[in-house]
Amino acid sequence: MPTDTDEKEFRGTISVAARIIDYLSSGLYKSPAACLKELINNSYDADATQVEVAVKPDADQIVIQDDGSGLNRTEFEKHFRRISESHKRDDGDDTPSGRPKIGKIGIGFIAANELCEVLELFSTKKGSTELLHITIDFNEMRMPAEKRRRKDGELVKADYTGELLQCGASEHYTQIFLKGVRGPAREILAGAMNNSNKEAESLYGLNPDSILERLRDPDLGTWKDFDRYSETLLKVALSVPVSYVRGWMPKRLHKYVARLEREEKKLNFRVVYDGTELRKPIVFRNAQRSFIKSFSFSGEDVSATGYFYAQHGTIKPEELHGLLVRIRHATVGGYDRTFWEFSQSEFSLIQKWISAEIWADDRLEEAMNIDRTTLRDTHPAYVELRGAVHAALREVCSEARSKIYEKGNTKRRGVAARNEIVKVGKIAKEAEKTVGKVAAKRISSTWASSESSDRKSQRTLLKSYSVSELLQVVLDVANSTLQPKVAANFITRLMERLSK
Amino acid sequence: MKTRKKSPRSLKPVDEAMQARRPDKEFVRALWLERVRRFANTEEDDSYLYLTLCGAEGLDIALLIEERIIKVTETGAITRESSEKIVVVENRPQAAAALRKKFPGLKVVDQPFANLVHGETQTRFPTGHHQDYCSARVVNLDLNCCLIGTPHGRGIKFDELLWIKKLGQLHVDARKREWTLCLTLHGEVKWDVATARHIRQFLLENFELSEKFSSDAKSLLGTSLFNLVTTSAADELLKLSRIDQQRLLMVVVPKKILELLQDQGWQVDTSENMRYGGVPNAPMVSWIMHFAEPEEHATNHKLYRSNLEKLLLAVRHVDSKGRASSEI
Repeated sequence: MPTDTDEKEFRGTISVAARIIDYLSSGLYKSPAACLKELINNSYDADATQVEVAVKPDADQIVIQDDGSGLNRTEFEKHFRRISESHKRDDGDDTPSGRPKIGKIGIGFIAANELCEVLELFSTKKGSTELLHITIDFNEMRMPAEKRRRKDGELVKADYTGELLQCGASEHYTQIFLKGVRGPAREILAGAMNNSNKEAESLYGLNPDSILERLRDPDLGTWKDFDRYSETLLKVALSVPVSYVRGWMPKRLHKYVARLEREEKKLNFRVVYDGTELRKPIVFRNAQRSFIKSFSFSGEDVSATGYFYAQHGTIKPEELHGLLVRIRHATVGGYDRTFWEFSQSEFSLIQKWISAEIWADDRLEEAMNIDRTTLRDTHPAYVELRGAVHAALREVCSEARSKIYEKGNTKRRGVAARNEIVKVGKIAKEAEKTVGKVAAKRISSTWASSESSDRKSQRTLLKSYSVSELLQVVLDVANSTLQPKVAANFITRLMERLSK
Repeated sequence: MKTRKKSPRSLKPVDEAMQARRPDKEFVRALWLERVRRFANTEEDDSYLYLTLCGAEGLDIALLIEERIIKVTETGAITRESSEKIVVVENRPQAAAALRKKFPGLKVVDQPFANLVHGETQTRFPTGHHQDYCSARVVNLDLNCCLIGTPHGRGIKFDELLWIKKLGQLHVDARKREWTLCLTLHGEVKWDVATARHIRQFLLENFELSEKFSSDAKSLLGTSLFNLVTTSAADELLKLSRIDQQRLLMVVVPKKILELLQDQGWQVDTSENMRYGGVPNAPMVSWIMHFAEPEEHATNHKLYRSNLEKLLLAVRHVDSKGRASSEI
């Protein structure tokens, strides 16, 4: 720490060793998918229209290459000299093509540290014949400084090495090679099986329509039913600004999300993962008993738009259940099943029937933690939006209860009433032989009107009786209509019959 | 950061593609395909089927896919089963990236072939996955280099040929008793005088030992070149025409390989010994050598003589239109 010479007052600068990258990124990203998402979003910020990710066959090396604007030495050095300074937005909040930049503090690039030992980068900018080649040895960087220090106090190795090569002036791209992918990450990326499922299916090598078909499979309860390669692929696809898959929303509801869908498509960003073009893996398969409620909120500290989709029955695969928030088209974590800690006791059943996506404005970005997957509970934008989300969720739950839950109940009750009347009719016909036509007709006519949609008479018809309730009714009637001796006989026989 | 400017390391895809798609090269590639097909059609085993140094274009891979020897999914990605059958060795990161983009799921080993086989030393051998790769049924060393000799003790060593010796040994160790080597080199003689002397001496000794080899070599080289080799000073070998350089290599290289692998007990069928290219393209020489388990009771000496007799039988020139004609 350099200090001035004043003995009583002093000041200086705090130097941060490159190892801070290790500390910062260790445990920052929950999964390999989260790391890949960061690197892909860097390509998006570089105005790439296509990113190719190569993982298979064994994920020992991962290649991410894009056709973006590229990086030159000056930009690289500026970026790496002071990670966490907002260089990414120095030139404005949007990319030259008008995309809102996702990255802000530049930490996404070091997500690679979580995945691999060495990162190699080749990049060139349009109009330049300079090809930047950088190698970052994270393994070296992770070594304690004392082990890397020479006698003269200098560090033995640089944190990165670079060279300038040559290439054609018309080329512009960035290629990132993640070498020495670490064991557990490699196993996940290559397609290890999920614990319980040794025969899990893989989405490797499938086109978007085939993936849609797999996601629509009614037997699919969770993405974990696939192997971990596929789970990673789906998580990446959910997080980056790619288009929706055709037919993701039931046709009759599509008009409510058409605008949002167009907005995503307009970004013109494709991610090809081992040959498979990624689309958002959001597919709702209950076409009949479902509805959408648009969400639009404009508050003092934040504004947001989106939709709440509700269906009869639990949302499957379960990864789509909850609330997904996007800022600048990138997700903040995955679907939050608590809907930002919405009361669990309110509409507890119906909450599981809902999937929501919300695009919030930049003010919510300030509430985002460094991991880009969680939001600060105390930030005004978050507090305000959470209130709006909870209010909307209440409305949706209420609407779901009346539109798809109650409506379904009424329909079911009508069917049951009709069936019951048929049974009563049969009993009346049988009774005709013993009690005569008049009494039999009385039985039928008493219940015939209950078939109507009159909820009260349907309930009466379908009412269930306990033994005590039944006894009370029968004894009341027997006592008021039969001679005591006959009544006693009747009661004896009735008890014999009921207790069988 | 180093700021020195280097010669371009990035690919020139157009040049590479143009060179790769020449009819003469396509003729050679079709022969490789045929060899791979033979193994693909035989009984399934857990060996790698094909190891190749195919370059960024990967035209031989494309051919194998077209012929359905390598199977792909609906997106064109190589199936998991097929990805366990084929391996590419490509040291240039950008070429490796191009290959992985073109053929998703392709196994690419990102190191020089020399590193993969642990160099030319005969004491250290690859193990694990690398051993499996090197024991592939067909190994295609399409080497983008000339055969260069370097001093070694009292003699001269040729690294590329020593790698092949190791490949032979790895197949012996892995009990893969049948495999094919496809070898391609630049057809230029860029030796120093010591290497030229070594080669001349090597040929003289072998011409003397085998009349058959001597007469076959004479047919291939032509009387004038044959006489130059046998009677002139070694320096004269450094002044040969392009075609003569190719022909000289067609004699030297397979003979050297035969000698180096002699102790491994292979029955060797040199089914192709070709030259092609030349102005305006680079002159090339290519061989296809099939190694198999010999019949029982064949002594190494007998085997060697029989292998030698077949060494220069299939010598051909492939013209720029991809038409092959015998060189004898």
